Amino acid sequence: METTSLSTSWNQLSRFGSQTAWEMLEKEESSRRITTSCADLDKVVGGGFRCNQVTEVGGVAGIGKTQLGIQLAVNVQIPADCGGLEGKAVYIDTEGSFMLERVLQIAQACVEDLHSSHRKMTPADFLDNIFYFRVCSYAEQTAVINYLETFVADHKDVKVVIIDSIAFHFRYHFDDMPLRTRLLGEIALKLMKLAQKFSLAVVLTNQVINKFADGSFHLTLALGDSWSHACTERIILFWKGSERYAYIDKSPSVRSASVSYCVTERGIRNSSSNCKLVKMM
Amino acid sequence: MYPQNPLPLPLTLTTLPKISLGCPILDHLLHGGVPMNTLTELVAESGVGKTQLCLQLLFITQYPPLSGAAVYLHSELPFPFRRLHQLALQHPSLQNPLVNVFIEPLYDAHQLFDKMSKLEFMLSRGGVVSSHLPVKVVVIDSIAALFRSEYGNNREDLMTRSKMFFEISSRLKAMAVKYGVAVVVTNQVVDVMDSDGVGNSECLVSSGRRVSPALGLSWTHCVNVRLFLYRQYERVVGEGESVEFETRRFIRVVFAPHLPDSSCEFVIKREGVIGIDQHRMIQEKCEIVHNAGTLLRALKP
Repeated sequence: METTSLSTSWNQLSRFGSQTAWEMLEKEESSRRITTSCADLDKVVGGGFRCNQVTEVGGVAGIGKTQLGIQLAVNVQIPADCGGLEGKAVYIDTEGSFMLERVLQIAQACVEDLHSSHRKMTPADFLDNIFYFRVCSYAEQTAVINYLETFVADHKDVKVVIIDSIAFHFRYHFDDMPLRTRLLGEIALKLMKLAQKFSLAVVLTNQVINKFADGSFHLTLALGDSWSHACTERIILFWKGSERYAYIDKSPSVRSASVSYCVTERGIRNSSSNCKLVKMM
Repeated sequence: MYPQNPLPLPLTLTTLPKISLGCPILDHLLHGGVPMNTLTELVAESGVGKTQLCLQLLFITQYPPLSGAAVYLHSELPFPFRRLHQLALQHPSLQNPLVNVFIEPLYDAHQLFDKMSKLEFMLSRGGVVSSHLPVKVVVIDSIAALFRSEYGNNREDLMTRSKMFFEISSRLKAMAVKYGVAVVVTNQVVDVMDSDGVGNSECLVSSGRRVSPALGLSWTHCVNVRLFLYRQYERVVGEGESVEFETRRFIRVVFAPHLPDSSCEFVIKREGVIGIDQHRMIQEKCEIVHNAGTLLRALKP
């Protein structure tokens, strides 16, 4: 037993700490996922929001970005015997949309859905496991993100970090756009490192802007082109008629697809319409 | 730096701070009223009742448990003093309610920045004069009027404008959180020409016009709660020339982190803005019919 561990560490050393692709695949396959409570959405993102990576969720106001954020902060706490991660959540609120009564409502629904026989979680327990930071400027936001590594090192059971939204405080105050790009680049690296080091999921929400290109206006996510490289996975939420849709815009592992979902009293759920077809593109 | 405990104890929904609208039906729609610590927007075309609702808030705030004063920044002149006075008379249990309402005019967007600095100072002191109640609601009526004339439709102006939106919103929200204040801003509407608008679920309709909230997409990201007040004309009697229309007013939750998309009818009376519960009205009518039935049966030998 000891010899094997010695030889592995010797192996590691001789490879300058690098990993083989095989090891990475194993790690990726074993990496845990946080369910969104919407089976269709889970299916298209490959089983849920993945740990070890940064996922960006963008969309217009009122489409359900915050709802998804709250849902993930609750769902990450689902006990292990119910197939959850039994982790805690860090919620960085930059816009002030984290409404306690809504969190309670979603947590209540989650409790009702769980059939855990061992211990009964109450909605209040769920709130206890969400570390909430309210930030009111880009400086505060940067400071909290810098501090996250220390914080998560002390709270190893944090399995998801949600920033709602990454964009808000970076959309004013900057006349010097290259500076903004640099600051955001730094944030992106820090979050990526955080996700890898503590194998947790980082979920960022982003806003949309009207961009003029090719002679017409179209909607695109805020923070510019360089930011679009910052996240591993990008999900765009949009309206189609009166139905909400999620579209996988960028992902290294799953196919580009769109699926409808619904925001109900109980949280994010499958769309109630009859045509629950997942469209692969 | 340490995370806040999001859970205020004891845990009851009533402890979640809201400002009542002074009407149980409207409060029911908003799950208790206008939330504190956030930015709520009232969107409507002129004359539907957004100012009425704001004026009402100025007085309701003064009742316990909130017992707060109100700041009212208005950019749509003139200020409706007579209506304010009329509403003040509806609250005889408050001692001189007009003393706790601070009114200031706004002429342009830059002035709003100055006013916000003053406001921050005022809030940090706990009130204007120590004997006054602490400020609990800040109303800006309307934000759209500040931006309508000064900025053009070219790219630079739009970008400057959008930056200003985010800065205003961020400062108002910071104030709201720090001092436990509800911030309410009103917004106007613009007509929508093309069908898809900006990707929202559907067009908003008021008085038969297809409208969208003014100030565009970036401002939409600046508010936490968007309420839309709209009007419908319904033909009551007559045909041809002698048609009479009845105006019906509705309030709808367009988006809010804690509320479903829902709506309710309201009327504006001398006493203020009052919600109408359609369901209950029907129910009451049924009950009357039912009661009349039992009465008749009882009378019959």
